[in-house]
Amino acid sequence: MNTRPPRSAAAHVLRRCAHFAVVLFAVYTVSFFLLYALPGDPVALMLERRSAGAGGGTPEQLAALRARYGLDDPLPQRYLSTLGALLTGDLGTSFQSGRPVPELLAAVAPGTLALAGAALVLAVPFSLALALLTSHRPGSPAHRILVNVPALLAAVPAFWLALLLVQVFSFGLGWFPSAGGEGLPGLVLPAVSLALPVSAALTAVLVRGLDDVQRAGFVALLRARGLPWRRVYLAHVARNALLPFVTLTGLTVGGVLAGTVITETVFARAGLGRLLASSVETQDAPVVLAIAVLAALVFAAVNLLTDLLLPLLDPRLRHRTDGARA
Amino acid sequence: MTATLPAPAHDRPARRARRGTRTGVPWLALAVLLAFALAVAWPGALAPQDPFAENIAQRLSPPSTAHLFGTDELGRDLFSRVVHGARASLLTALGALGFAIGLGLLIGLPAGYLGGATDRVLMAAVDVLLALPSLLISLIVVSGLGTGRANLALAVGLASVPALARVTRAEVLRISTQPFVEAAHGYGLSRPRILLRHVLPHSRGPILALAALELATMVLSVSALSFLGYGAQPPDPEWGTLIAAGRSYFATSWWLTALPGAVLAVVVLALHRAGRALGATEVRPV
Repeated sequence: MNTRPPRSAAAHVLRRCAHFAVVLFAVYTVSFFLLYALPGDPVALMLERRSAGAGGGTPEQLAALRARYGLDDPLPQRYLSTLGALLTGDLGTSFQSGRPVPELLAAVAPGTLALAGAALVLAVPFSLALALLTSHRPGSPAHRILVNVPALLAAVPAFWLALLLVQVFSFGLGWFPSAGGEGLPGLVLPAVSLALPVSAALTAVLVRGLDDVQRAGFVALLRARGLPWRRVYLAHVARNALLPFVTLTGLTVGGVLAGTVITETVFARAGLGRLLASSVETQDAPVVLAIAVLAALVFAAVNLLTDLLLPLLDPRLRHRTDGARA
Repeated sequence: MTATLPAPAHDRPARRARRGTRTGVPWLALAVLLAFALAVAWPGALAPQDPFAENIAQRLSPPSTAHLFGTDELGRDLFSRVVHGARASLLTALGALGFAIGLGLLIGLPAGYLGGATDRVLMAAVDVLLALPSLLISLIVVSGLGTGRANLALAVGLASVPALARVTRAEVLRISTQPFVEAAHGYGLSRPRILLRHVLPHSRGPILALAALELATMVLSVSALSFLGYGAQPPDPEWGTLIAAGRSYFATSWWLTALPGAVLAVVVLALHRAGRALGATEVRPV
């Protein structure tokens, strides 16, 4: 079964990479047709906004702009030319501001990266600790109470949670600025409100994993041989239950990406999420398309990475994939 | 949860396992959901005050017996606005669910039943939707279609199609191998008839359980997108819009944001409970 492990492993990596490319292409295609093939005239909307509601533009102005943005070309031709431009790194020009999309993205990306990074740094250890604490004694009163915490967090609207945090820690206690703060103090509340909903899902899955592993036979054996429970729990149960957590961390990145739209709006922070929200409102298709493809790129890349890492962490998966792919 | 039969003391692991897989009738959650159904069907019965009646003298007054949830910046009764807002919020979410189940069945039934190339193509299409976080899918659709409640329902529904299509397909695959389906083939019934009259009815349990959970997610997504300003427009009350409007005053008037959000959380918890009672175990990570 394991006669040619190097070759099949390489084939596995190649397959995953091809899948990655196909997914990105498909996301582009779906986004393009959703954004451009549907009714709604972005140019008219753009002129109306620019002239602040003073009656839009003349038909000649509309025609000139339509020609400039290539909106008169047939859809398939625009689809191909946009794809070609994207592949050469040209993300297009914003309908709304008339500036190149990369410029717009680069201006706000650092803020979002700091926020998303801070949220991940908070969410992953927090969910780990909460799950380990919850599942430490299954069936105990602590387990029964704590197991509801992720469910409760998942039921609460994320934007509402953010507003409550502001109410308590900013207006009530005055610890942190409520909006737009600079530096670390301004980052705390947004990062926490982004991290909490994400850790809800992470914790729920990890607790289920820990509870399941505890019912396995080897746990009973280890306990029967007299190992202290803490040792069994941390060294054996946790180690076995951690694998789905690795996959989920990939998905968590997606949750954080989407969550920035809400968080940045609530805290009035400049960032990719807020840029996306305002571009959706003004139907600024090039910006929305660029952010969607970028988000899919990050999301798919993280999933690809966890997929490739998992067999390295878990020998059982290694053998299984070799057997299946060889 | 009370057991009807006294279990022997040494039977604890088995009892625990049972408790984990099957839950009793969630009376509290059902009562909550019924109350919200009443709010959708006949809001005047729960909140007799006019949600649009302005009373500037009473503006921004905190919760009291006269105004259960306090009043907003125009002196409108917030409790009435929340109750009347249930229709906008919940009907939009139900519309999204209807769309998602419809499309999910349309994809999942043929994929599971026909298999082969049909299955691969349909599931690959569904997988594309999974390559983006669901909120992003909704935002792209809203961006293409424009704002408004009907577009919002489509946008939110589309994000749930992958989950529903996958469960439908898995159920159809499971049921199709049962002897009674083979027997129906033997009788010479047509394939659409077998699929709709014999396979689908047996698949409805897991689909319904997932639908309850998805509805909870949809209520949250609809309110989040309305909060961002893509749904119902003021002065129409809708929960996300109410919370967004309350933001302007929330340094001094906590009830304007806190109470509508709490109501929203209660609906979502009740739907989660109902979903678990129907047998759902999955919690979607994103």
